Amino acid sequence: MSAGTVLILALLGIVPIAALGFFLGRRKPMAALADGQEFHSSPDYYGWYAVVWMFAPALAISFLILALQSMGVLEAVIGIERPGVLVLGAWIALPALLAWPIVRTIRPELRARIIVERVVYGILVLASLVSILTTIAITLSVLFEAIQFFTHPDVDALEFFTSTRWAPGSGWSAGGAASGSGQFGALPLFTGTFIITLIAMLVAAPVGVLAAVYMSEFAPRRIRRIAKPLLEVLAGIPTVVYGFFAAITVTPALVWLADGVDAYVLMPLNQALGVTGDQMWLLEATHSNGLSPGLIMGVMIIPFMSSLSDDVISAVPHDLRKGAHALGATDAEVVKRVVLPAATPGIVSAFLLSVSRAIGETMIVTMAASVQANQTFNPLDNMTTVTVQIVYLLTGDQKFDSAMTLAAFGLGLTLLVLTLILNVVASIVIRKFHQQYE
Amino acid sequence: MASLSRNTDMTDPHGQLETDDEIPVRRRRRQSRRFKTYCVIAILIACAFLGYFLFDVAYRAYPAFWQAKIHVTMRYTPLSVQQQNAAVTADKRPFVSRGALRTIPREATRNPQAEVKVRVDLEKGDPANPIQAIRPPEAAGSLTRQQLAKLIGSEGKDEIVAELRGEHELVIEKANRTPGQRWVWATDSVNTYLKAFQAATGQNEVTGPDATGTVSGAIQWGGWGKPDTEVTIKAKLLEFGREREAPKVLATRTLEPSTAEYELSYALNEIELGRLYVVQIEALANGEPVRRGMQPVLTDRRHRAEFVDIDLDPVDTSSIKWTHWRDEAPAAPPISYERQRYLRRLYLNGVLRRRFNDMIHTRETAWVPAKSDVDQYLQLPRRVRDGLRTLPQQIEGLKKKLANLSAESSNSTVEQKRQSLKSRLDKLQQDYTQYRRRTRLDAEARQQVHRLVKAGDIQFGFNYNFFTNGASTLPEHAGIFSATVGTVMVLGLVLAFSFPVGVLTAIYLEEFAPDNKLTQLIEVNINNLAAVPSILFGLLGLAVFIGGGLFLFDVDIRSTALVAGLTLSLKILPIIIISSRAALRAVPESIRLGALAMGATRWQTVCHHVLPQSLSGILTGTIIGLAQAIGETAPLIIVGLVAFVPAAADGMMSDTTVLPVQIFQWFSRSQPGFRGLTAAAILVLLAVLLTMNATAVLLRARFEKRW
Repeated sequence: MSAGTVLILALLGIVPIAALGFFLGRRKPMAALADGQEFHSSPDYYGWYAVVWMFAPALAISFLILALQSMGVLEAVIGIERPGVLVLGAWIALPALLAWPIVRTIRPELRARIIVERVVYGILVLASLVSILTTIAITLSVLFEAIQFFTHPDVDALEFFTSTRWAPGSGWSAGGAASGSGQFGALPLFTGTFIITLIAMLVAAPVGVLAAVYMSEFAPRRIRRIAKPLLEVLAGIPTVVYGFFAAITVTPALVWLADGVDAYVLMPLNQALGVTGDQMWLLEATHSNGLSPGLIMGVMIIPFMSSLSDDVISAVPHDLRKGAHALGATDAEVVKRVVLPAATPGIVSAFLLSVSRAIGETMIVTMAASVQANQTFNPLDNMTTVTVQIVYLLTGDQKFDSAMTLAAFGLGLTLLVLTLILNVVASIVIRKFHQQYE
Repeated sequence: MASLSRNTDMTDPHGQLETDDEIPVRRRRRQSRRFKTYCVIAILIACAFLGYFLFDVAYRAYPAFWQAKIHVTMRYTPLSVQQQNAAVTADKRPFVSRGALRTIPREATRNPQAEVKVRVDLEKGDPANPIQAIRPPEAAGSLTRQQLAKLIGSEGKDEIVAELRGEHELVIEKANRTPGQRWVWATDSVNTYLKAFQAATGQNEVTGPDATGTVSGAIQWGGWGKPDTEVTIKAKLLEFGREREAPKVLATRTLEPSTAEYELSYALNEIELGRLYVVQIEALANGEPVRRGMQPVLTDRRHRAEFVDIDLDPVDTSSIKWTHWRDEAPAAPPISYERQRYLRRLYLNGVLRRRFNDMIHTRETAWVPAKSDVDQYLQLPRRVRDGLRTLPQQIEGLKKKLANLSAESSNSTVEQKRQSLKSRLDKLQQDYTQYRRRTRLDAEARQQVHRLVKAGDIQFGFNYNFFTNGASTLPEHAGIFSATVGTVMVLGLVLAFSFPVGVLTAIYLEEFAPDNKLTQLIEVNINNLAAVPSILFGLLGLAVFIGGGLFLFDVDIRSTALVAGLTLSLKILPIIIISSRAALRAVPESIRLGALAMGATRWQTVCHHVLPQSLSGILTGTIIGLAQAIGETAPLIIVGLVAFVPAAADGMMSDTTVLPVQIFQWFSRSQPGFRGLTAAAILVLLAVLLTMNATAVLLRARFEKRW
């Protein structure tokens, strides 16, 4: 029996058992209600009370099993290696067994409501802890593997941040097969990420802010009603789609453009200046250049940037605008001299969040940028980024503990730290802004 | 006018507005207008991009929704069942999709109405020894019990045993049958053979070769050939001896038109074989030789002839390869010739029968997908196709002119002319190379395709495969069905997990949480989580779910819907929490106070009053979150959703792919046919997203309450 069928059977089993418990628990208070007898809480609460106590032992046992498993006791004593089936079994068998005994404990003076509400409160707290657990899990899983990476015999932590030679998988073991190690100097990756992010922000920041200003300050209501959903549509386009567009349409166009500039502008110029051979100044765009994903990433970020800026610009108090208008300022002066300076912290925060998003963006660069590491500042040249390399390293057939796979987690840690800093700074700045005006 | 320089507002950190006094109002107005124009331009850039982008994708996707289909005459013969290619005639075979060639024989054998049954006369007997209970029908002649038993399939055997045990009685069909007579299922190989055996009605009467090596008799095929194709085939039967000696011509004969290769295979089946024969075909279509010939598989116990394409003119016997059977066991030996004869005899004697007379799925003709290369070529712009056809002639003409010119004495006008001709020639040649790069068909194939189009044998039809098929290595057969199923499963899981957790978290934070450090931590953390790059969620899924899954169950949950759903749930959770909180916050305090005043508990207040009021807002947020989950690609690639999934996944634990990952995979393929498919899949994805977002907006507009 596969784990999948077990899971489905369990889910199919748990729901009817819970329903059974609920109706059994409710039966006595319902009958009593008809008789005019007083119970402490309303009947439904007794139903829930039964359900809660039926499943509580299962939960406890599950945790116990997991704890025993992680300590290795389970395997040693009863010889079960994977306790998943055991846990699921407990979730069906225990409630079924406990249903009747628990229902029998229901008495009029039982304070079911208070107990159930306390349990509900506990569930709410648990649910809200999921997000914290997610953060912790991301951090820990990346951190542990990254530590393994940096302490790996093939890897030099200092080299990771300073060397320009990035060639994972180039190491060869004695047997002649690729050992999964190689040279890990991630500087070209950081450079590529930086350049592409820079290009993206050069597109997104001015267009995004101007669009936000127009939307919140100048746009007639009718245009706002059309343009705002359009921007939202732009924001909802999956990045894999942008990546396709960048790689299939934009990159060839850029190559074509560069060739055209070479042929009709730069070559005559070189001839006129008498430059020949290697000295000639030419544009050479490769088919996985950094400019194309950068531009498209910028377009992707425009709606994000614009909606964040729109929020803060709208949050600037109207009194300020009215005051400036009353003093005779034109519309543009109000925006440029009063609204935008006031909204600066918010726009800075939007900018930082956008940068964080650009750094972490994966699909556009995976599809349109290069896989080869290339230490260059020329956006028309091949360029790779941190995220491209993570995808590249993790889609191969390497062993989980090879330096190559671990390198992905090393890069992941860098990415996590970088984006975390940006996000935290952004949230601090935006909180300052809100405190000022609220 | 009043000076702005005394502006002491705290929001103007620079306080440097004093120059405004010197600028005339008109210029300031102009500046203001210019600034507004910039803003409008920014919006227009965004909208123009969206417009161009949609146009570009649609333009690239359009060809993928149409597919060149080719009209073929199909043959369901024993040969076509055993050998895929044989189901379609040779003139069209190079242009028919390999997928279609594969399905035609499968269709022939899978026709459910075409079950073959064996007739047995059943006596009372011991269920443990059913062979003793069956008796060959008299018509079968010398057939022994053992031989008869070999024809009966496992189902048939079960039936017989069941009847002998008295569990149930086999139905005696038709009144005129004798009482002991039963029909039971035949074995698979008999089934396959007879099902495909179209001409098993005794119409073929071929005898020979006699001592002189002549084959005589006529072959009639029930309505098979297309009468309008005028093809004459001359076949020579060649004999190989036991040793590898040179083949010699045994017989020459002219066969029926059109699909002589099948007829030949039958002719050969009819020829008594003690040795291995190989047929060489000389095919003439309207007096011109057809290039491709074929060799049917003919086997005896010792030799096997391989399928080889022989060049027909001039006849070259050395191109026929043959190998010894003894050296290597064949993977799936076809039914031997003797056995085929034997089965046919049984059939004619009435021991075997098909359930229906026309049990073989014989569509005379069908429209099947053409190869992607043909499709791509035909969907090229007309200019390119015409260019491909006419440019070589033009180039030749120019070259001739140039040669003539260079023969003349050179003077300035001739030189000028030569220069202009040369530049024209260069241009044409450049164009031609460029055009040639856009198709994979060579000149000959292109000509043939044009001929087929002219004859009406190639047409464009809607590409249904795109919606009904899963992944395939053939562009003309690849579709988004399994990816769609995967997307729906993953979305279901995301909804099942992140909706309850998200809403519960939002309820806790909005309605229950005390204002302490933990609550603040959770709030900060949720905002932060929303901004964590999605690829890191992939790393989390890899480390926790796949690692943890191995820890709990003995299965690899890599590339399953389960791990994808869990990973995406965590990614979407913050979005649902944030929007649900906003929706809960919008419910006015008076409702809560009212409920509390009536004696409701806090949970009852939330459950019965606040939650129902905010449900539309929560649902809107959830739909937007799900729309984002549909498009996520990077984390899914990391958790291994890159498996090749030809058939839709049948559960959470089987290999799955989703739409965006399918898009990414098609994008990574090199065949040009996948380019259009990628764009088409993108269009579908965008359509789904647009629908979801529109639903969310409508929902918000319809149910939003203004308090």
